[in-house]
Amino acid sequence: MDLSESPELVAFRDGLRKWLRDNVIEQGADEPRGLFLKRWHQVLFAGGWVGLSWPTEYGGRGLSNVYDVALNEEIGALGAPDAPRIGYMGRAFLQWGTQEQRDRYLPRLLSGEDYWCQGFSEPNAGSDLANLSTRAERTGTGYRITGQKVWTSYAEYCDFCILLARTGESGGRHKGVSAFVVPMRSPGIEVRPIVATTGESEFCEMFFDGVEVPEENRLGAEGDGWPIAMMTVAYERGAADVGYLSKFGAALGELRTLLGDRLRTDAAVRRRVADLEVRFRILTTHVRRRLAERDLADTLPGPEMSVDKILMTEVDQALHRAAIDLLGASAVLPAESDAAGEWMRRYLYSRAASIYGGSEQIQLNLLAQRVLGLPR
Amino acid sequence: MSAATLVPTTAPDTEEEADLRATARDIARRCRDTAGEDHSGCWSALDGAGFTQLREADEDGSPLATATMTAIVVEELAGAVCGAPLVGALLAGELARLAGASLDAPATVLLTEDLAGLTVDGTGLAWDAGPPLRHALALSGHDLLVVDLGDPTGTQDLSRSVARPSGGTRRLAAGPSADALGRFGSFARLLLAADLLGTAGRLFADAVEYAKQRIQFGVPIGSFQAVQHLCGRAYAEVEALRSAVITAAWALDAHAEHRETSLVAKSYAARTGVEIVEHAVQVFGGVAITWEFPAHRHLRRALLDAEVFGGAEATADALLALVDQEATDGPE
Repeated sequence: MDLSESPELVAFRDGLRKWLRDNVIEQGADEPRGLFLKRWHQVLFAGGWVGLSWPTEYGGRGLSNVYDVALNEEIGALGAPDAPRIGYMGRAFLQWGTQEQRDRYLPRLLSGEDYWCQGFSEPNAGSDLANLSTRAERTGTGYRITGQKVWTSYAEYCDFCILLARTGESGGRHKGVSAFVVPMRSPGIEVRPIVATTGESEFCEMFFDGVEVPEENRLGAEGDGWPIAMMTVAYERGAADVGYLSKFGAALGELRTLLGDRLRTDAAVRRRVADLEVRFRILTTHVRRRLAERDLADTLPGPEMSVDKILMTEVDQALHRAAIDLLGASAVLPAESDAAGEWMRRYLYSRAASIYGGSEQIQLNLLAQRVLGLPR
Repeated sequence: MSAATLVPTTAPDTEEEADLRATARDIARRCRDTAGEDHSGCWSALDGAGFTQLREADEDGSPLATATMTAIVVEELAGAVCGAPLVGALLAGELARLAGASLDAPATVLLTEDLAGLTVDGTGLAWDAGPPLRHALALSGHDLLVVDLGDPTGTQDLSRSVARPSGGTRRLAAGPSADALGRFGSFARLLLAADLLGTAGRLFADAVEYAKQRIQFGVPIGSFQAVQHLCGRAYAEVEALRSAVITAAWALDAHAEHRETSLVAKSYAARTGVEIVEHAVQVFGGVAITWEFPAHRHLRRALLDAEVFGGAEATADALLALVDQEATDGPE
């Protein structure tokens, strides 16, 4: 497999590195993380670094998928804020959206002018997503949506939601599910942020009480909701698709710096970090292969992406657990609100990695049943 | 059990690679079906296909086959736990080529006693020294020697023998440059990682098929979530290992950062290759702990492969040293 970087890609990396040195922004003291990431997204977009593998007609760069790895690596190497992780949400529009929907939503999604969230999980539809019960009832001109969603990242700052709701019979499992674009300022939506173990509130509850959306806001036909959701989560499982490679690369570099001489003088520390280095390189290597395959075969991601999610989770949790172990008291003594508690917050967040985006057990089910063909 | 079962992968072969893989797989299938303890027929078939000379020099000094193609052949034969000394012969071919020399007869390489790398003083242990090999290439100071080998003796890896120098020695050429030796090390780690991928991946594929057929409690055991999760995790490891092997092979072929990629591949292969085989053994259950069933041959091969040219920890440590050096020197 040809994994060579073209002269254009090398030049792209150089340009990006230089640009990042001059343009990285910092989170304001009182600025919520969600708003900071939105601002960073807009700064990155203005520099021309968002939507690299997206068609130019929607504001992307029309480049191959490996550019996303390069973006992640350069951001990670410099310790800049995470690469935007919401691009994956728009992918379904390329396959299921109408031309009007693509023209209307995609340019502003890529530019970061509009912020998007994903309304999939419900209190009784977590791992069992097909048990979702939010309903979209037909009205004369569209749909009326009623129900509850949960674990929606940054819903309080979002402009639009891709929402799954049942248009068919209740209890219909994968059948009769449809996908909608719901403007978050619609009357009847209430968003309640959930304070997570990190002390921050990324995840939210969303309540829909008779929210009216016009028919043109349905993505795909009635009943297309399930494949749309599956394709979206397949992208969500790729570490470059969600910008996580950059996050881990930056964290590992920071940890090495913090450990300083202990890395050379303490064999146990060295062994632990060497192991992390291998795991991180394996993830990078694997992601690069995946994207090279995607470029080569022009295929869409499928159930094999559960491999990527498992590898991503392994790096996330091994890295942050090792950091807490190795930094010891300096990581766990600071007051909960102290800036020095950052590694503890990251560690706590990493525990969610095997729960969100399809739990570890669901990923294993998918590999066993959908890829290996073991009986259901 | 069919020798044609494979785990699904999205990794594509080029047309040329696919042809090569089909030929290698055919030799591996015959090995599995008929070889028993005698692999002289396998060696003849491999030699006849040109597979034992893949890394020898063509007229302009470059290898006859790419590292990618070579790794494919190694992976396929390892799937059958073939006892023909293919990897030893390929390593000797590579070492001779890098020294600008050619071999009169097939050979293997002489390693240090801990198998962690090439000897530098002409003494040590020849690994993968089964018949028909009678010689090993050995570094000694600035020279590359051909040493005669005594009779091979068995190891815990039932498919591979070792042998000691028996006294006869001749100088073949000046030893390769430091840079060439660096490339050799990367190539050696790649082949061992490919051998682990083949050994582990094939047994795992067979275990998945077994899980679909073996009935307990009135249903295939593969329908139980405990078994499914065992298989799902092993599959993720197989695919990650495949990514590492593909990348390390590409790096050698493209003259990219072969040291890092091969250290990653070998370190991960040494750890997960053995784990994947252990998972497969668990899926097979009692049958896998019998002498007759080939699972222990895969396990034994994986365990010895893990040590050759550096174990999981030693290679991870070497990787960290490279990263440290880069952090000190700045990016290239």
